Amino acid sequence: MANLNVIEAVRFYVRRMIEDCHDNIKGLIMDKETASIVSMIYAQSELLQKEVFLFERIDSTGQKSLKSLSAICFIRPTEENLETLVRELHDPKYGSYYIYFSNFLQTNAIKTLADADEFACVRVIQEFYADYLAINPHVYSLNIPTTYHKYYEWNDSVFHRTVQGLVSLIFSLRSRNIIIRFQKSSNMARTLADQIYSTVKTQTDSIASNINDTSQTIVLIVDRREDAITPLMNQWTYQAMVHELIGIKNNRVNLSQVPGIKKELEEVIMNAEHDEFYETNLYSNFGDIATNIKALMEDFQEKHKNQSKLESISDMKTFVETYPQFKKLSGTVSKHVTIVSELSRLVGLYNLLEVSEIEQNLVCQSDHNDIVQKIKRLIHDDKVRREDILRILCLYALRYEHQSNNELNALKNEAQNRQRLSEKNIHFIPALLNYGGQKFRQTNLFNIQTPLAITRQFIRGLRGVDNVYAQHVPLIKDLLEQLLRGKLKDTFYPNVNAKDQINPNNRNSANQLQQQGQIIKPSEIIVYTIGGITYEESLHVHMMNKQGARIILGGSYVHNFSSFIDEVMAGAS
Amino acid sequence: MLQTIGDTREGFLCPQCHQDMGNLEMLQVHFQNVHMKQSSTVVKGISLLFEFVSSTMSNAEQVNKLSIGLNSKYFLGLFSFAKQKLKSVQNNFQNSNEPSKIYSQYFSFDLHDYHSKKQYMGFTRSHYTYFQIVRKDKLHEIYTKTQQLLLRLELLTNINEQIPPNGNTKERRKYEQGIIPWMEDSVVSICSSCSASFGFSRRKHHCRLDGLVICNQCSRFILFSIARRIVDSNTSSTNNSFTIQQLMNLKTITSSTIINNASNEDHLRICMSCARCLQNYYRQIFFKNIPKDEIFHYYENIIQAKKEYTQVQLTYVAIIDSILSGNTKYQIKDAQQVYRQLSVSYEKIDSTSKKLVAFADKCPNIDENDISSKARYATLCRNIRMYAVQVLQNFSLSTRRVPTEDEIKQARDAKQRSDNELMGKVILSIPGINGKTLELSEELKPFIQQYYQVVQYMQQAKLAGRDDEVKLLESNLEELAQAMRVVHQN
Repeated sequence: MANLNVIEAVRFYVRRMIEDCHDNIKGLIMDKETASIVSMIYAQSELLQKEVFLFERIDSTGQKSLKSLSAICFIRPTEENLETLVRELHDPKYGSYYIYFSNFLQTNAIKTLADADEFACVRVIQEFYADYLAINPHVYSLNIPTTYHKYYEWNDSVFHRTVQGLVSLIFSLRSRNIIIRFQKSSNMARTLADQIYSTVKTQTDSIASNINDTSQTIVLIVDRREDAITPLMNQWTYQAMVHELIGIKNNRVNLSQVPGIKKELEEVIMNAEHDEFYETNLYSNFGDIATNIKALMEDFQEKHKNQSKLESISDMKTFVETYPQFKKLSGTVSKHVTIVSELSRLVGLYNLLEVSEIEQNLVCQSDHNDIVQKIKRLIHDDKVRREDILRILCLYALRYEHQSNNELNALKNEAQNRQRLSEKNIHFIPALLNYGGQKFRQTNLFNIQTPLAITRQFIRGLRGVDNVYAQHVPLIKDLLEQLLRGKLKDTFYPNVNAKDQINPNNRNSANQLQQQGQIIKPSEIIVYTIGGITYEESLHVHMMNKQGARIILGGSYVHNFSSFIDEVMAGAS
Repeated sequence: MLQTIGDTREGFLCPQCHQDMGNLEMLQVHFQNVHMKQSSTVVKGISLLFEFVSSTMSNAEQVNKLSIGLNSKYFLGLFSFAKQKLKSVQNNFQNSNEPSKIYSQYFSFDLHDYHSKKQYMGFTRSHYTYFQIVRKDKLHEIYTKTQQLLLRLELLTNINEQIPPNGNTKERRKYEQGIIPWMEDSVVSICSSCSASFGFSRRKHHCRLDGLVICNQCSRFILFSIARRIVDSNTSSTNNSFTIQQLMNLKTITSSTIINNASNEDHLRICMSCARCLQNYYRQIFFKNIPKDEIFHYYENIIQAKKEYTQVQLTYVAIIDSILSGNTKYQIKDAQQVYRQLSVSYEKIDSTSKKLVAFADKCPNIDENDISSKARYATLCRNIRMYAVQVLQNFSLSTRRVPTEDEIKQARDAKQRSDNELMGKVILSIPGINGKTLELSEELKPFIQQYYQVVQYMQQAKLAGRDDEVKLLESNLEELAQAMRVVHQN
């Protein structure tokens, strides 16, 4: 059974837009956000093959008429976009317009557009719910870098965008019967869950009323504040590592800081959809990548040797025929070799192996004295970056928050004396404790209490730790395991629909089943994390999906440590 | 950049820059000098990585210490250390080689979905029906108003036929008021457009098209000549293109001041809302008559040539296949002829799209200062060229060249051999005929060939399941064998 795939979901929409426009020459008009949405899944050359010859931003269309061109507009239904579109229709540059909105349209907006279309150029007005970035088949993001507003509450525009994004995701996957579970301790999660529930309910009546589908989708809404640890850790799998150490933004990686970088490699695109090596190695750990890249290089060198032995005309012909693949391969090789060697340079330069080992031990082991000694040693190691010292101190602060022999202040002072902690960073530690400290959390993050954790601890004790750098398992994995086994407690993660059970008219089959004490098997689970996800979590969900789970993971953003600092600070002030 | 199918393709082309080097030596020298250096930079990058790894190894004492016990000679460095310690995270999940589907049990599968194993396109919602209803009303409203104004405009511009131009102003005014009654001056104290009160310095005027009272500042003026052309474009179908040609040169059709041109031409005073309505009408005509840009003609040519190529290619492939399987249905010159056709289409796509690149540099018909439009136009042209290049690349990769005489001869010989072999087998299977004696008998040859063909037909018929045909052919074979026996005995 093929898993649901968010990349495929967006691709369906874009492909349909282009195919439904039968005219020859097409232009694609997008706004800033939809341009990112499309660029995540289609390369420009791919669109060119579909006779899309012009890519424009709605806010910067030219003056000269191109009447023989048809415009496919794929835009978000924002005020500004609607205004710009009205102006464009009053004075059309294109011969016809095929308009697709990425979300719900108000009736009065349709009327305004219809009134503006005096030249009768509009051929299509549709809602296509591709209002999110599809990052990997099972990972999406709404591309909102900072969700939290003052004192960790919603601000209206972010809330609106979040509701739109999440509902569009649900509809793009053709889910209509949803059960929403949310994290009770988070007001933001509760507000969002309520709004999603009512929006999906009202909209399905007009969108999918005739679809007879009884499958259930569970939407799990959690708040990053419950697990502030995962974004603090250094990572050792390829995608996560690149994001942590260099940074991935809309599949682009900026390598301009790499010493001696060649001009054409200053910005590279890392898209698993178009890059076989990346696709197979997204979740490989650092050691394996080195082996794999060696194989890639040897393959390339072998090919290159063949290519350079051009002795006869027939060799030449083979060369011409295989040249496109060869060129592509050489691009892939130089890209990954550059990135992997940069990663290994950074690992050595900043002593990241040692840092990471201490991080993992801090989270997963419990020898307090030992760890304090190790942290002290790290503070005195000049190779270690300041931000890594901050990570460690943050982890320590969270781990031993209410421990009587807490030495946080001593460690902070020591770091400051060694000038390893900047003024700004000192403020981050209390902000983080306020963000994700014990006062907020409803479960013990470092607990040894859940049966799962106990089992894990037990097995670990038997086998010994086989990978010191991958001891930590993100909370979301435990939550998902509990959810699947029907063990996720209603007291901590209540169900929005629960009140419907009181009303007999609203009683649907799912509720009846629930009342009979049966666990409803969902057809898939959608996770939304307020405050963003990490690639480490993506890795764990990927592994679950490989073993038959159908889980889509996403959140407001994909964080690394530095973007997470900004996120936490934005809510603190 | 691009190699073409013509003769040059068989010359000494450089595979990277496609220059014809004349002979093999020159080509090798050129390739090594120019291109080997370029492509080896990548390899250099790789060797740099190796160097880096080994230098890390020798420098970092700590790493060395930790990697004791690893006897891998190659890649003995940071990587192998990392690899050793970092056993893959996957190990935590996978106990054996085959990943167990332990989570499947927790999910339900939609039966419909399950069979097709396929994801469907997400939900959509169309607003076009409602949109069309609103737009229809709006367009109807505009149409009615415009038609009314055009009718009045026509009557007003005919004034000179009714009353001589130098005639009585009063009578002219009466004629105008007969078309649309003027609003009484006395009931109006403010301008119906800008709401300023009238007085000594702000005099009252009337719009000739709807009779409203307006001030001078809110007045627009339309020349009779322009007004007539606009009316003509609405009514007369003859001479239309000429009228429109004249109209297309205008930016606006009304002006805010009275133009005293040489002929001291008649004009009409109208209010802003009527002016706007006429201007919109004019823009509609304008929009309808924007000529197709040249690049679209070129583009259509490219598409046409692409279609031709694809069609001819089918024939060509069939011919080549036939020739190379040793059949004699087609000759080499047939293939060459079709190949020339292909080359023509190929050339056409190439040259047409090259012209577009020239357009991208010139940007004809675009205002010098309109940089954004120019950039857009240039991108459009270049993208079409890129598209054409992709098409051509696919073509040249998917089209085999015409086989040489030698190759054809080889193919035919091979076919001959396999035919003979088969025929030999067939002969042995004919009842009552001795294979060895046959070889000498010239008379029997046509029979055997016939027999062989029938056997082949029969095989085909069997494969296709046409039982009746098989029976018929079987009896044919029987007859043939009979005939052969007769000849043989003679």
